[in-house]
Amino acid sequence: MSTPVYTVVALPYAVEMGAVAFGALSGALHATRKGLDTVGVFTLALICAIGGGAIRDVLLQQGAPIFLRSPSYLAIATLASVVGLLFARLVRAALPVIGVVDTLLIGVWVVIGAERALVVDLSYVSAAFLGVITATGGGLLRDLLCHEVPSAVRPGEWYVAAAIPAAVVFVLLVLAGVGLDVAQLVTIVGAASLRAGSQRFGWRTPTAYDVWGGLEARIAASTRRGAPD
Amino acid sequence: MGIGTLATVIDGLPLALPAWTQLAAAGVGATSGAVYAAKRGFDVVGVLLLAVAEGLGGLLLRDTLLQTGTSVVLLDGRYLLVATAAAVVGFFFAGLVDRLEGVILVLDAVALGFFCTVGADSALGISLPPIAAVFIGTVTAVGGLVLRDLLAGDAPRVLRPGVFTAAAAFFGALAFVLLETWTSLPSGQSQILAMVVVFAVRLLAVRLEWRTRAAADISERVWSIWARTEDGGR
Repeated sequence: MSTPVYTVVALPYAVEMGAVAFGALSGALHATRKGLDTVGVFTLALICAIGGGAIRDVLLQQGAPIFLRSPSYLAIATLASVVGLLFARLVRAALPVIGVVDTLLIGVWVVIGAERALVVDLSYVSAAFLGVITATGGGLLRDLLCHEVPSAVRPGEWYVAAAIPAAVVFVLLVLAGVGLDVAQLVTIVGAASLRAGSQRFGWRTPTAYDVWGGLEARIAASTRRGAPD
Repeated sequence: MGIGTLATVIDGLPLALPAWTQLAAAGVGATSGAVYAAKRGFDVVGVLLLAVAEGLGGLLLRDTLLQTGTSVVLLDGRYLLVATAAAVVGFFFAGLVDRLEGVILVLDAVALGFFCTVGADSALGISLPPIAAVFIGTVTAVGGLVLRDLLAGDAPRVLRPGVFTAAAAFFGALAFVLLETWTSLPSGQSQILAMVVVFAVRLLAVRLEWRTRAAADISERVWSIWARTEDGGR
C-alpha cells in the first residue's frame, strides 16, 4: 500500500493546548465531585489532560512521549489543575460551557491522535485506533484510578461510542484524499453531534444483542454458581 | 513409544509455524474477551475494548517492554480487524459461543501456549537472558487476561487462587526456553513441544481441578526448626 506523503499536523497548536487545559479542568471537576483530596484532584486533572496522549505515545514508541518533550503540555496542565483546585466553585458554575467544549474536544483528540499515527506511516486501522485511544484513554485511566468500572464499558451516554465512528470516518476521508481541513472538520463536528444527540435524545450505547438466545439464562445460572473462572 | 519414535515425530514437526497462527491466536483471545464483556452486560464499546485488550494486550505489553519499535499489533492493521471481527461475534453470538465451553477451553489452551512461546522467542531473539525470556513469555500469554480484568473493573483473576492459567503459561515458557538453550531443535519445533506442555497442564488442571494455592506462610515452621537447633546446641 503506498501511503501519501503526510507531513502536517494542521490543527493549530493553540487548539491542542486548549484541549489539554480543558481536559485538566474536567478531571479536577470529576475529582472534587468524588470528594478526593488535593493530591487526588491534581492527579486526576493531569491524567485527564495527558493520559490519552501518553498511552498513544508509549504504544507508538517514537521516543519520549510528547507531553514530556514539549514543556507547555505539563505547564498548561498544571496551571489548569491549580485553577480547578482553587476555583472549584467557579469551575462548577462554568459546567455547561465545559460540557460543550468537552463534546467538541472528542473529535479534536481523535484527529490529533490519528494524525500522529499517520505521520509515522502506520496503517489506517491503527491510526483510527490510536485516535480513539488519544480521545478516551484519559477517561479510562481516570476511572481505573478511582477504582471504578470504566464508564466506557458501561451502557450510557455516547462518548467512546462517538469517538470510534469519528475516527473511522476521519481515516476514510484521508484515505479518499479529501482535504485535511475538511476531514478534520467533519470528524470534530461528527463526534460532537453524536455525543450531543445522545445527550439530547437520551440514546444509550447498546449492549450485546444475543441472536442465538440463551445468554440471559446462562448469566443467571453462572451468578447462582458464583463468579465464573 | 520408544525414544526413536519420539525423535521421528519431532523431526516431522514443521520448522516454523505459519504467520497466520499469530492472528488466529489473537482472534481466539479477542473472542473470549468479547464474550466476557457481553456476559457482564457491558455496552458495545466494552465488548470492543475487552476484545482488543484480551486478544492484543499480551502482544502490546510484550512490545512495550521489549522496546523494539512500534508494536506488531499496530504495524499490521489486520490485528485490529481480527479483534473487531471477534467483537462482532461476541456482540451477536455471545450465548452461542458461551455454550461451546469445551471448544473454547481447547482453543484458549492452544492460544495460551502459542503466546507464551512467541513471547519468550522474541525476548531470546534480541539476546535477553533466558530468565527474562521466561518472564516475557508469561507476560505475553496472560497480559491480555490481566488487562481485560483491569478494564472490566475486576481484580485480575490470574492473581487469585484458582485453576492454573498463569502457571501453565509459565511452565510453557520455561519448557520453550530450556529447549531453545539446551537443544538444537529449530524454534518452530520447540514451540510446538512447549505448546503441548501448556495444553497438557491446562487441560489436566481443569480436568483434575488443580488449583493454585494461596501463599503458604512457612515463617512459623522455619522459626520452630531454628529454635529447636538452638536448644539442641545448648
